[in-house]
Order: sequence, then C-alpha cells, then structure tokens
Amino acid sequence: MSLLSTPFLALVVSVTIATCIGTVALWNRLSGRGAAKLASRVAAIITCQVAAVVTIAALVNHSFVFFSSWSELAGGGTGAATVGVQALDPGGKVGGFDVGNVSAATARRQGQLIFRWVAGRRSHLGTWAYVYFPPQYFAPANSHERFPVAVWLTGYPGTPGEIVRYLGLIQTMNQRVGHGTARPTVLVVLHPTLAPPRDTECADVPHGPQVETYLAADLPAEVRASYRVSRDRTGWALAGLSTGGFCAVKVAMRHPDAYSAAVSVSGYYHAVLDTTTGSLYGGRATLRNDNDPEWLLSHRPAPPISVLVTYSTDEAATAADTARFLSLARPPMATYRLIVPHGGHNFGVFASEMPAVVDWLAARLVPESSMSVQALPRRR
Amino acid sequence: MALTGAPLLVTAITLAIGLPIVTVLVWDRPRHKVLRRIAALFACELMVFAAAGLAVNRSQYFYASWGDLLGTSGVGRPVGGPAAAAHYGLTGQGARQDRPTPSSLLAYPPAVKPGPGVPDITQSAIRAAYAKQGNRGSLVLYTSLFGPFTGYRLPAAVYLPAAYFRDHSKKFPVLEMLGGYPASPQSWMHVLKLRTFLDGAITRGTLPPAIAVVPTVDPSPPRDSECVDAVGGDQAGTYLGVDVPAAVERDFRATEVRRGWSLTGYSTGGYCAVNLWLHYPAQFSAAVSLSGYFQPELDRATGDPFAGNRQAGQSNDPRWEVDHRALLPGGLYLAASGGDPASVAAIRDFAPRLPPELHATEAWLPRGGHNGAVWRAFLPDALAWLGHRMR
Repeated sequence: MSLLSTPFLALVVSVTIATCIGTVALWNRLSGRGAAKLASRVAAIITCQVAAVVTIAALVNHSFVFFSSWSELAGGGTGAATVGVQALDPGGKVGGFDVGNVSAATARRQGQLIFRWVAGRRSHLGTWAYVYFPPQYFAPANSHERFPVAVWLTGYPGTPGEIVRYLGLIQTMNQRVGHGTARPTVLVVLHPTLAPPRDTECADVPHGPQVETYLAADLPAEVRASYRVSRDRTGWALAGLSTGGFCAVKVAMRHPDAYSAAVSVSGYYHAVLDTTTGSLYGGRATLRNDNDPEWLLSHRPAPPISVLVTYSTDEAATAADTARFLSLARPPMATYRLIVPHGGHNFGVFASEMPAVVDWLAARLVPESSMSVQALPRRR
Repeated sequence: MALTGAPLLVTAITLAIGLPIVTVLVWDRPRHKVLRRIAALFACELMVFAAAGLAVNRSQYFYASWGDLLGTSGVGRPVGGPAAAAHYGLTGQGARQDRPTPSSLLAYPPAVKPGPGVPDITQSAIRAAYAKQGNRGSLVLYTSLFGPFTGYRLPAAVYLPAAYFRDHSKKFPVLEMLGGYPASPQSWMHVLKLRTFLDGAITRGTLPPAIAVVPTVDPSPPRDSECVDAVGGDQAGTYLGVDVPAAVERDFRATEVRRGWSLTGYSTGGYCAVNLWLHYPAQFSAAVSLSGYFQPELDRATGDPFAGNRQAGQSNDPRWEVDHRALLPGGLYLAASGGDPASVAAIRDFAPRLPPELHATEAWLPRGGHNGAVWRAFLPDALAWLGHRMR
C-alpha cells in the first residue's frame, strides 16, 4: 500500500477510530490489579492518541507530498545519485504525440512515444530519453522481428524535446517508410550532457564522468534488454546535431563494434576545450588526440563505419571543418555528404535535411531478422 | 524555555505520558464524570500533538522562537522608518514610500556607518568570531541585517568562505538563500546543511569562493509574506531585494557586480527567488528554484497581500511578468522531483514561456517528495550551475 494512496489513508483513519472507540468501550475490561490496570489503561489511551497523530500526519503528507514513498520516509534517499538536467516538456502531447502508453490500436496506427530514464550500469550515469516505436513495431506480422535503432543526440545546450518537436524526425521517417525509401527504426533521443553543467564532449573524462562508455556500452545494453531491437552493430546508428554530431562521429569511430553508421548534422570534427568543458583530458595530449576525429583519421587505421555529414553553405566554419574531415577519410570508413544550399544553424534547415538522412540510414541499417516484410529501400 | 530547546521537548513528552496516567487515575472519581473524562482525554490529545509538533519543529527549524510562532517577534509595521533612512543620509528621497529604483540603489553611499541603536557588524566582531574557531575554515555568523529602506532588523545567517580571511582585498560574489514557509535562517543551515555543501563545492572548484546570506523571509511570522511588498503591509520584497544586498555590501566585502549576485530558494523560497529576480534585475543575475512555484499562492497563512489590487497581483506573478515584460539577460535554474507532482506541473507550465536567451536550465530527480533530502540532492548541481555562471 503506497504512502500516498487512499487505501492507506482509509486504514489509518479506521485504526484511529477503532482504537479510540475500543479504549472507551473496553475500559472496564482493562481491569486487574493496581499497577497492571493502570498500565493497560494508559497504554490504551496513548495508543489512541498516537494513532490520531499518525492520521493527521498522513493527511498532511498526502496534501503536501513531503514524502512520496515508504522508502523515502525511511530515509532511503531519492534514489538518484546524479541529477539529470533535462527540459521538462509540457505534459500531454509532444510533437503531436501523446507521451506514454497508448492503446494498441493507436500504437499500430501511429507508433508510440515514451519518456524514460535510461540508467548506465557500468558508467553509473543516467539520463531521460524519448524512445519512439514506429507503427510496424506493433504489427502482429513483425512480432519476431528485431528493429534497427537510431540514437539521436542533441546539441549543447539542447533538449530531446526540441528534436521531437522541431526536427520532424518521426513524421519524416513514417512518411519515407510509406514511400518505400526508408526502414521503420526505433528512435532513441537524448542529450549527451550527462554530467551537467559540464559539456564533456562525450568523452570518458579521467576521474570523471564516463560519458563515452555510457553511449557506447550502457545505452545499447539497456535498450536491447528492454525492447525488441537489433543485437548487432549493423542495426545501430548514432546521429546528432551540432555537438551531438561531433559526439556521434567520435563515439562511432572509437566504437565500431557498437555502431556501424553515424550522422553529423552541422557538426564539427575536432575536440573542443573551453570554459564549459573544463579540463577534459587531464591536460594529457594523448587523451585529447584519441578523442579528436581528425587526429584519429590521420594517425590510426580508419574504422569500418559509414558516416553522413551535413552542413549548409552559409555556415562557413562548419563547412571548412567538414571539408577538412572529409579529406582525411579513407576506406574502410565510407563518408557521404549532404550540403544544403543556404540556411543557418537552425531547426528549419535541419528539418529540411531529414528526408535524405532517414533514407540514408535505411540503406545502412538492417533489422536482425532476415525476413523483412518491407521492400528493400533503393540505394542512394 | 526556548521553543527549539531540549528541556521544552522533554517536558512535553513527560506530560504526554503523564497526562494519560492522571486521566486513568481520575477516571472513576464521582461527580462530573463525563465532563472530567472528556476534558482529560482532550488534554492528553493536545499534549501528544504538542510533543509531536515540538519534535518536528526542532528538526526543521520552522519557528526559531516563541515570538515567531505567536507573532510577537515580527515587525508588523516598519520599525524606524524615516529615522532609519535619515541615518543613511537618504532624507528627502522618500525612499521608504516608493520602491527604490536601481538608480537610487546605486546612489546608496557604500560605507556609511549605521546610526545609534542599530546593531553593528564590525570587522573586529567578525575577526573575533573567526578566532574563536581557530582561524580555520569557513565561518557562519548568526546576526541580524538592518534594512535602511524598510527599517526592518531581522535575523540572518551569513556564511563567509575560508578565502574571505586569506585575501583581504578581494570582493566576493553573494548567494542569497531564501527558505520556505515556515522557515528560519537555521532551516538552510541545519536542515539543508548549507555550510557543508558550500565548503564542498568551493573545495572541488565547482563554485568560486562566495558569501552566502540567509535572511529572514517573513518579517511578521507567522504571516507568510511570500517575499512580496504587501499593499499597506510588510515590505518583504524591498527588504529582501534591496535592503539585504545593501546591508551585505555595507558590512562585508561583497562584489558590486550584478553577475556575482544570485537568489536561491526552496519551496516558497523558490517562488521568492524567481519573483525577486524579476523585480530587481539590476541587482541579481540568476535565480535558482528548488521545488518552487511561479505564481503567488494565497491561503490562510498569506492572507491577501495585494488587497485586491490587480496590478500588484500581476507584478508578483512570474508567469504574467514573463509573458508581458521584456527581460534582462540572466539565468534560471528550475528543479523539481518526480514524487512532488505539483512542482513538476509548475515548471511544465512556466518553462515554455521563457525565451531561449534566458538560459533556463531544468533539473530533475525522478523520485523524491517535497522535503529537505530532495533539496540537498539538488544543491551540488545547483551550486555548480551558479559557479559556472559567475565565471
């Protein structure tokens, strides 16, 4: 019985009434020799009084929600060691979707969007994420199919809600699936600032938050354990906007065993150090190099992943960064570029790139079952 | 006996056990049986509630004294008033009537000595207090802050970091910490263990060394001031937004730079922090709300501070203010916990109204109700956010 539930309140009220009435009604039964009679009657009165105090306390707690559970009352703490910095999206609909459980019929028609905490077992980090299941996930014919996953990372600052609301990612994917050019994919949307307010640039910070471990190991493990998704790298892609794009490319390059494809929308390709990142690499150049995609391409064998980079010609710095990165790439890393003729670093431009991004992902990701009920997408 | 003292609690518990014993002994006495029994049971009931209430108050520091509980310690109406303003050479400015504008704040002479009858936080007193704890670590002073504009003199706790005593030329940023309702400065210090968290954040480097001041939020307890200037009543907003900064700048080496001043509060204090930040943008650059709300909540404890005046009500409603007024750049940190649905709903309603250039950060604990454990859990992150903004 929960501390805040009506059955509990009813219980304490009943106990109070029962003990107090019982004290009066059974008064004469509480007899016996002097001291015993005194003690039993005093105990009866005190029991009734204490029950009344407990009832008032329960009612006050119900009203102000001081303690939301028994474990919290017992001093079990709030359970979360780290505070997650997240935008609390307005309740109800987000991007046209009701967040949370919906009826089976609704899920089969438009998919399901949920908002959940994803805890990292190895890194001990955690964050809130949107997870979207496409309508095909709920089709009875697909009940044995494991779906590919695209993990989307926001920029800094940025919120997962923005991606769901302004990127048009979900709607675009469903439209392109209807066209036959894209594959229904489970989407996981989170922001990579797992140790706020530091921008850790998705690195495993020495003696600090192990954000890269979270993204490469913990997040896939948790999603695989919870949902019917691919257990192979060929079904996993990492994508992001701006800083999220840098994260996506860097983590995929360093963990090709976890991800086979990466998308960077208006991202950059070298490690940044500023006041928000602090000293990420403990001042050690080797660590910083290892987290720098351009350095990795120049000094290490290229990883076997596919990378799609996008930018708009109006973003001069991004364009130059991206060109440099692409010039360093070589097999087995396959790079693709999408250039938008004009427009700045904003969601309007990003959203316009989504159809192409979604189609590209479909051509790289495969569901685990070899029996796909969709026609294979055309290669682009 | 002091309200929060152990002797009073022990007495209450003794009576809570003793009265039932007496009740049993007099139960069967002849004459007025029914009256006696009812009176005796009622007395027992009262005593048990009193003992429980005293125990809770001791742990949470809701009311620091009998005066707070019974309403005799409050200012009721401004104390000093014009005479106090004259001490600071402000006669003729009419400062006590109008809300001081930012320009009049800048005109306030920085190093004026308080006049007679007003307690003085002298440098020697601070040094003596520090010497008493061995000239090590940080210092917490329990003192009072006198406000020249309101004339109120109210208890406050002031935290001075260890660095304050090492570098005598440096000026420090100031965190103004506001408690909920009911609360005393001891609530922040003992229940939320502010000193421990400040020491920790400064040592770890997430917060630069800073002064923290915990003023009294309700000039006339047990009335809940909601930190507003009540129409025809207590001027809590002016006290907290103008007088407390003025007093701190006068008595301690506090920065005059807006970037170094912030407001932090829990529960009602969170509403206070955001509302005062909106009212005094020249003084404060950031506000932190832990499980706070964003419109005045009027109930029996608050009464109607606006006396039906619609403009006063709107200007103290952060949601209305944000919708209708241009805002200075600044930062907001809004925190809520999953086990406290009202705080979550408040942020969900308020946050979408904020423009992006305001840099609102939201913090979330998935579990936890409306209590000190949750606010302590937020403190490291909130202090780091404040520290990040000050750099």
